[in-house]
Amino acid sequence: MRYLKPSSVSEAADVLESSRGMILAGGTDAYVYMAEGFCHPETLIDISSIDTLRGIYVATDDREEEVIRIGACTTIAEIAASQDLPTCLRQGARAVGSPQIRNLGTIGGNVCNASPCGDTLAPLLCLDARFVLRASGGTRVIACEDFFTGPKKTVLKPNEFLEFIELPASSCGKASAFRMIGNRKGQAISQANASVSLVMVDGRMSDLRVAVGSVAPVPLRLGKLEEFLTGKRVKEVSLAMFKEPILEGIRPIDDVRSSASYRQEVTVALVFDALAECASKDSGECEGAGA
Amino acid sequence: MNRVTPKPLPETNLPRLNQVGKPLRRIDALGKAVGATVYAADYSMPNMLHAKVFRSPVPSARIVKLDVSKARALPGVVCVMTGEDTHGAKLNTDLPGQTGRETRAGSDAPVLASDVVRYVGEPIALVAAETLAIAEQALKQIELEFEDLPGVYDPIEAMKPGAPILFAPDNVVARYKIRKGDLEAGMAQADVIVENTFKMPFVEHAYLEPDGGVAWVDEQGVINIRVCTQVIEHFRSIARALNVPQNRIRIRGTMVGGGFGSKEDITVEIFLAFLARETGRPVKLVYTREEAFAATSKRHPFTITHRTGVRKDGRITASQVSMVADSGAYPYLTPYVLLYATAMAAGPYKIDNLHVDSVAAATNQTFTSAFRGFGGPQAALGYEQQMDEIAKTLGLDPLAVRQVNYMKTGDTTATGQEVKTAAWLEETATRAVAALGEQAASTPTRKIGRGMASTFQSYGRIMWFHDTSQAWVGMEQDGTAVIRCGVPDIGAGQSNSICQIVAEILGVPLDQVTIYATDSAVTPLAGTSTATRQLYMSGNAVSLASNTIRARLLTRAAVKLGVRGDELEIANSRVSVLGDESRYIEHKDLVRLCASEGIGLSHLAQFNAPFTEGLDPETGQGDIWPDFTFGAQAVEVAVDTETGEIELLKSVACHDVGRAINPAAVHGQIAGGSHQGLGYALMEDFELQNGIIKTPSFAEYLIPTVLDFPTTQTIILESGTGVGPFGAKGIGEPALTPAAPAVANAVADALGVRIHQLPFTPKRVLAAMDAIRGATT
Repeated sequence: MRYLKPSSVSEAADVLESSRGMILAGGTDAYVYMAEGFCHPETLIDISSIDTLRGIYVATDDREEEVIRIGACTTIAEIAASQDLPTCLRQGARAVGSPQIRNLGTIGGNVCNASPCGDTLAPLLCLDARFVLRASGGTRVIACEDFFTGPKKTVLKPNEFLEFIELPASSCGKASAFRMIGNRKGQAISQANASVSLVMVDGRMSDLRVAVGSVAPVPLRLGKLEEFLTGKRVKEVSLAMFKEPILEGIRPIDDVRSSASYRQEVTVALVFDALAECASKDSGECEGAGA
Repeated sequence: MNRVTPKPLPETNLPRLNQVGKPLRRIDALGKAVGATVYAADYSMPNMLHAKVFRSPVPSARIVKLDVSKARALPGVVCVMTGEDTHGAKLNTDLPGQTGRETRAGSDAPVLASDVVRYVGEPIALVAAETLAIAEQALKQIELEFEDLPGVYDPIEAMKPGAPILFAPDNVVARYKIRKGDLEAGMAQADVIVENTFKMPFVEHAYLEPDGGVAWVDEQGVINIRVCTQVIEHFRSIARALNVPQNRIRIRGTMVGGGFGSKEDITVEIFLAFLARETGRPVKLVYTREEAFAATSKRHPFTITHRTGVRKDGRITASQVSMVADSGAYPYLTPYVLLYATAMAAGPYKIDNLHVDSVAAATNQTFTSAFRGFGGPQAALGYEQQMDEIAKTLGLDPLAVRQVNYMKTGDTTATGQEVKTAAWLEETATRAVAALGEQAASTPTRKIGRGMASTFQSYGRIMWFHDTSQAWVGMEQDGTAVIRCGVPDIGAGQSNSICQIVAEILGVPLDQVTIYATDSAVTPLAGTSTATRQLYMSGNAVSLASNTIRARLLTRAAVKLGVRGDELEIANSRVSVLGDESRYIEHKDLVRLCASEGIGLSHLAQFNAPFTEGLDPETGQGDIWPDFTFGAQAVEVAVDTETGEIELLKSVACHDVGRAINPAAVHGQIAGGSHQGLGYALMEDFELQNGIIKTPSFAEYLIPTVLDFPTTQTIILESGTGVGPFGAKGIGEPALTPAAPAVANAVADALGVRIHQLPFTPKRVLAAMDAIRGATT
C-alpha cells in the first residue's frame, strides 16, 4: 500500500486524479474498514494536515452570498466546541462516538462515510448545507439533500473529495436542536436521530426544517411535516398529530441495533422533543462566525 | 418501597489491626498507573513466530475436506497444524480445573476439530509464521469444504425428540433436582400461588485484555507458556493433550487484565504448547477482540420459572423452581454452573418445602462456562424478581416480604446446608434502601421507580473438589518478607490482599513484602483464581505460614527481652514489649539472631478447605460450599415513556464482607461488580441467530460506559464471622449478583408492569409501554 501525504488541496486533487486512491482524514472509519477487509486501497491519501481544510470562518460562496464555511478536516470535537455554529450541529457532533473518536474524526469524514446513522448528517440537512467538492479540474457545489444516494453512497466521483461545508449565514439566527437515541449514553450509534431548525415569528413556526437520520437509506427532510407545522404555534400541535406525516416519510429497517417499529415510534418522540427545544428559544444562540 | 431505618448491628468486637483493614495503596497500583506492568501480549522473544487460529465459519457442519497445502507453501509460514497433527487431543472441558472428577465422557472439546464443527469460531487449524501478516495471509489460503448439518439453537428445542444431537445419547449436559420438605403440603397452606418465568441472555465477559501468550521450549525440554490465565494448573490438562509428563509443562501466569471467569478455561495456552513443541521456536498468539468474543465462553442464558405458595402475610409456604440453561456447543463448566444456580435457586430465604428441577442442554452456539457469579446471578434474577411479584400480588412492601422470609444463622439452604456464619440480610438490605434517600418525582413522561435485591453467594469451591492452597513465606536477613504463592492475580487485588495479611502478621510495612506469584513451576500451587476463593484459600495459607514464622520470632524475642511471648507486640519491623516501647528488638537483628542459631524463618503451609463427598442425587441434599456472603443492592431509575430509555439515578450496594482486608479494594470490587451487573440488566446481550453471532465486536455488543451509570455507593459491613483470614468473607462474585435484579425490580416499579426478558433495552421498554397503553384504550 502507498501512503501519500499531500501538503495542499491542489496537490491532493492531483494525486487523487492520478492514483484514484482512498482519502484518509481522521481515519476513524477508514482504518476500521481496512481492518475488517471491507476495502483494500492501493493508495491512501492523507489530507489531515492540509491547513486550509481546517477551521470555521465566514466566507463568500460561489453565489456571492455570505456563508459559514467549515473545512472538511475540522474535527468533530472542534465542531462540538464551536460557539460559531448552530446548536443542532454542535449537538450532533457531541453525539458522535467517544472523546477519542471526536478528537480524530472529521466532519468531512462523517459526511463522506454517508452512514445513515451519522450524527452530523441530519443537522447539516436541516441547515441547508452545501458541499464544495474538489477535483483536479476545479470545484462543484452540491446541496446536502442531493449528496447522499444510499447507505455509504454519495455523488462523489472517484477523483473528487469534500473540501468545504457551507451553511447559510442566516442559519445562526435560527433556533435549532438535535436529538438522538442510542442503546447507551456514551459512544453509542444512533438508532434514530432528528434535527430541527426554525424561526419563531410572533410565536408561530416559520422557515422550518425537519431532518431525520438512521430511519432510511439516507438522511431525510420531512417536507410534509414541515408544511403541516409551518405557521402553527407549538402549543397547537401534539405528538399524535404529526405521527402520520413522519411515518409516511421514513423507511426504517430491523437490524442488530434496533427494530423498524421501535425506530418509527421513537422518531416521532425525537422530532417532537427537538421541536419543543427550538420553540423554547426566541432565536438562535450563536452569534455567527467570528463572534 | 417504604422508607426504612437501618437495622442496628450486633456487637462484633473486631481486633484492632495495623495493616489489615487499612485502605493501603495496592502493590500493583503504581505499575499499572504508569504503564510498567507487563501483560501477556507485551512479551516478545528473539526468533519468535506469530500464530493465528483458523476457525469454523458455520455453527454445525461435517468437515468434508481440509486442505492446508497452500498455506504451508506460503513463504514465511513455518507450521500449519490440523486435528490430525494434534492426534485428536482433547481440552478436558468436563474437568473443573484442579482436582475434580469427570462427569460425562465423550463431550470434551477437541483441541482442533477434524470431523464436525459445532459452533461458529470452533478452532480447526493453527498457523505459525515469521510475521503476523504472513500468518493472517496463510489463514486465507486454508481451504475448507464442509457439508452443513442441521443445528439446534435453543436448549428447549434441543431436548425435544428429533432434535439434532450434538453428543450421543442426547443434548442434556447436566440435570439436578432438589427435594426438600413436602411441596404439595406447603402449597396447600398457601393463600396465593404466584407463578412467573424470567429469561436472561448470553453475556460476554468483555475483559479489557484479549487472551494472549508466548510459549517456548527451554534447555531442559520444558514447554514454558507465559499466558494470562486464572488457572495456571491447566498445565496438567495441557500435558495430557500433548502426551508429555506433567513436569514438562510450566505455566508462568502474567498480571491478568480482567478474567471474570472467561480465563478460567484453557484458551491460547494449549495452541501455543502444540506450536512451540512442533516448531522448537518461541511462538506468540494474541486474540483479536472479535476472536475473544467468538472463541471464549459466555454467561449461560437461563429460563427460570418460579411457582411460589405464600400466606397473606408474605410467608412462603412452598416453592417450586425450574431452570433451563443453554450450554452452547461444549459442556465446559456447565454442570457446575447449573449446580450453583440450582443450589441457590430459592435465594437467601428460609423455605421448608422446596422442589428445584434444572437442566442444561447443548446447542450449536458459543459455549458457555464460568462468569463472575457462576449461575448465582441468574438464580438471583429468578428469586428476587419473584419476591417483588409476590409483594405486588399481596399488596405488601417488597422489603417487608423479604424480612418475613430471610434466612438466619442456623437455618439451612436449599440443599439443607446450615449457614454457620452471620447472615446479615436485613442489615444489608435496610442500609442499601435507606441510603437511597428522597425519591425523585415522576412526571407524565418520566416515571421514577425503585427496586432492591437481597442475595447470597458462595465463596470457596465446591467442597467435594477437595480444594487446597499452598503458600511459602520467608524473611530475609534485613527483616523484609518474601511470599511465594501460585495465586494468579486477575486484577482484583489477589496478590495485594495476601501481602497485606503477611505484613500484618509479621509486623512489617506493606512495601517491605514482595510476592512471587502465578508460576506453576516455582511458586507453591495455590489453586484457581475463581469461585471467590483466593482470599479465603490462599489468605488462610499465607496466614498459616506467616503465623508459624511469627511464633518463632516472638519466642526468640521473648527470651532476648526477658518477657513472656504474650507480652510482646510485633509491628513496624520490630518486636517490642507491650506497654514499654523502649524495650524492643528490630526485625533485622532478630532475623540475624535466628539465623545464627539455626532457627528457620521460612515456612511452606497448606490450607485445606473442608472436604465432603457430594450431594444425595435423589434429594439434592448436602453441604456444598465452605460459606456464604450476604448482601443487597437498591437502585432508583427514571424511565422515559416516549423513548423507552432508562436512566439509572442512584445505586447503593451493601455487603457483609466479614472483614475488609483492604477497604479501598473492597469498594472497587463492589463498584465494579455492580457496574457489570447493571450492564447485564440494561444493555448487554450477546445475540446469536441460527448460531451466527450478531454482536461480533464492541460496535454491536454494548457494555456500559462511564457516562451511563453513576458510581454505585458502597457500604461495607464487617461481621468478622467469615471463614477467611481475620474473619473475612469473599466479595469478588457476590458484588455482581444483586445489581441486575435490583434494576429489574426498579423498572417494574416505574412501569407498573414487568419485562420478563433481560436486558431492558429502550425497544423492550417501549413495547411494554405500548402493551399497557393498548390494554387501557
